[in-house]
Amino acid sequence: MSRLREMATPAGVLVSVFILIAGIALARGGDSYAIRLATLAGIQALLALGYQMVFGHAGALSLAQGALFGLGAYMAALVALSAGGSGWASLSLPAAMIAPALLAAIVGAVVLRLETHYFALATLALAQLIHLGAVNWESVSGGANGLSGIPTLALFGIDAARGWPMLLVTWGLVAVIALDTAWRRAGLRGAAQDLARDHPLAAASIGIDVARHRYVEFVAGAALAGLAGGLQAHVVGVVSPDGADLAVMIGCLTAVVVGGRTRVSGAILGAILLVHLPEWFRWLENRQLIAYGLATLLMVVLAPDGLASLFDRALNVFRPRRRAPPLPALTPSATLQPVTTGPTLRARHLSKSYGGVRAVDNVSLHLRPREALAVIGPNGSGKTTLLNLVTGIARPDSGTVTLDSLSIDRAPADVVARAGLARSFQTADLPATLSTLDAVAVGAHTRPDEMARAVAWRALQRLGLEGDAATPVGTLPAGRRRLVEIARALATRPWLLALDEPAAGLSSAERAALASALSRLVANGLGIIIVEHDLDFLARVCPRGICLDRGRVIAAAPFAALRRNADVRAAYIGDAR
Amino acid sequence: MSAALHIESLTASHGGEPVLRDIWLSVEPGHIVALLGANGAGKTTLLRAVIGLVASTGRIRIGDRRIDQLSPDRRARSGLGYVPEGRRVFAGLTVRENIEVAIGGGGKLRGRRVDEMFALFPSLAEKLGDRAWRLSGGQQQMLAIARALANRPPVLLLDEPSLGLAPIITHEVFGRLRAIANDGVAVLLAEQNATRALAIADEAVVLARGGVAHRGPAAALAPEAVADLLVTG
Repeated sequence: MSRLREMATPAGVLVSVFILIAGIALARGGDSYAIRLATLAGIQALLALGYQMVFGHAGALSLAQGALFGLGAYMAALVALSAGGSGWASLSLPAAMIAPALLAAIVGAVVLRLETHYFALATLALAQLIHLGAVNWESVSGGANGLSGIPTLALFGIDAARGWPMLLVTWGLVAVIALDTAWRRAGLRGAAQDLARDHPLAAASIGIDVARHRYVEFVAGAALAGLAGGLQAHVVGVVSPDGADLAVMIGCLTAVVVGGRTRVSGAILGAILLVHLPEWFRWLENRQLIAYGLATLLMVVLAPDGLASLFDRALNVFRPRRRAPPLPALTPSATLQPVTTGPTLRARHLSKSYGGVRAVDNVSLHLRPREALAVIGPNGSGKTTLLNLVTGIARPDSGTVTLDSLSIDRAPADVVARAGLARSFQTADLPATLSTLDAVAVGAHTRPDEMARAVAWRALQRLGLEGDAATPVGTLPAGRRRLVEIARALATRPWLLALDEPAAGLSSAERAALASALSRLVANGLGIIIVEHDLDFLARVCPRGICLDRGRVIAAAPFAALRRNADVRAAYIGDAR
Repeated sequence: MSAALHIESLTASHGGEPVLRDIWLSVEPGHIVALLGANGAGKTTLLRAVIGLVASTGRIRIGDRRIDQLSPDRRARSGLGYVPEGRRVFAGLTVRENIEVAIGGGGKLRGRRVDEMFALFPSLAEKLGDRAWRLSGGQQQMLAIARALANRPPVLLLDEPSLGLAPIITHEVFGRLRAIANDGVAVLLAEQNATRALAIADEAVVLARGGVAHRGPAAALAPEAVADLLVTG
């Protein structure tokens, strides 16, 4: 219920009323043709909102959305036709949503693991199967002729006739879905979703379950496609295999690309244009399609991020300057580290080969809280692979990794992160448009926004980055962005931190500042393992270290002794022994 | 045709941060300059800046000809041979084809150049019909060098040719490099294996944090001194 309360903000209600009025205004003139077009635009908007979940928010280029729309239409038609006038007719829309959602749930479990273009091909195959089913399963689907005589939508005995009632139902649903989407994407939740889409590895390393996010969006998007299809069946009164073919898919893709991939307003705008633009060019008669094509092309060229982004730019002209986000009120619980003592990381006999090369060969190490361990070694000695094995990004061929009694060597990266072991990467993957504060706060995405920002503020303070809090993170110099990424890892409130070349790209002043910041964190109870080439930097942070050469630990010693160790020196200059 | 490579006041940045600052370096024909330094010191970036894969400012000349305004492919045709890190041979092509693809010119010239390369690397001649993926690491490295040399460039750039090779193979590859230099090629050799590189180089340049930390005759620089520069600090 808190969710409903949260959705029902004055602004939210205003927006949904506005969407409803926009839908009604489309049908101005009031003749049945105008009303029908406006209703179809609303149906397209629902389809596009569903496709935004899959393509926009999950980043999965599905080509099955049109076929799932068709499946929904068939389901609604079958339920409505077999129910006759009985109360079962109310189930037409639920059935239209459940069937595509179930299908997506089954198929998604397998195909969502595929890479972009393979995923697109797999969903295209699914679409073809649905289409083939519609054509060939004549006893149920009516074959190529389809099903006709579908009654109007009946909800609990109330008949939503074609015309104004159906228009209101459709745009009412658009308003509700739009509001729900806006709520689900508000604040840091949206930022966390975008990170999962754009930088899945970085997202996993701060505890976001990327696979689950993609799965949920794929299934929810299918349900919305089915809902739109069901409405269409009731409005048009007939369904045929044409309703499940690729043209529907292309229309839906066009609407989302033209309107905007992730903005609610973009989906609605794109859908309205998709339905109404051909009408506006009707006076051109047989040149209509050319004009429609040119107009679409023009929109994509002028507003590559979608028409919704044009509104943002226009609004920014009136807004003099974006205000800095309000500084969060610090609460006592917004500390970075848990008060209890953290677990000990133990890696035992880790090995990993890539194509015959032993990248890591029988490596064991341990890291306790309040410890800093340096990992050094020449190029290609297996340092980054070792970090990947320890943090769940790669799986060892043999050996174990534990956090106290918890085994993490087979755990995915997001589980490792949630268990308290965070990491940074050699490349700082940050969402460029967010403020630095919010980019860090995404690390604490499981908390309410205000609390997450308070934690992020603490993390920025620890690294001396408070001055950048309001700056868009994309405008920071490369070295500073690396620090922001470390701050984001800190915002997950880890017990242990794994850093991959944290000093690369930093000026010597920034290196010195980072070294003392890390030392303070260690003194406060954090355990840190650092892969780094700058040995002077490591000397300031790490009391002890290990040196790898060709995947093996060739020395483990206090850091100063490690640098004097004959084997280490030999490894660095490639002395053939 | 021989010409020297001159790098003058080269500065390269990555993401707004300078990675190399004001590097001056020359390689004379017939000389090998060993470019040493720990990982991250900027060796690879310097080679990539010279071939044009990384944007840089400053002047780069081959002999009297400035090449710093050219695209990477034009630089290569102006006389730069480049062997990138990790032996990027065309795995599906044969040894002969791998060399032939690099040669601009007619069949006759092609045949002569391929023969020259096989004379330089006799162990490749035995495998001329084999697909490149079947070669050992050391043979692949020699093939990558042969491909870079196939157009007889006056300047050869090599990035970590010893990486992943057994010591005995490294010894063999480096012996070939000395022979190539003796033919009049100017060789710039980026290496982490200082011991091996110093054994064949004429001059040594040690990079640290984007600048030149040491330069001098290779014979006067002991590997132990490099270790002092790189490890002990």
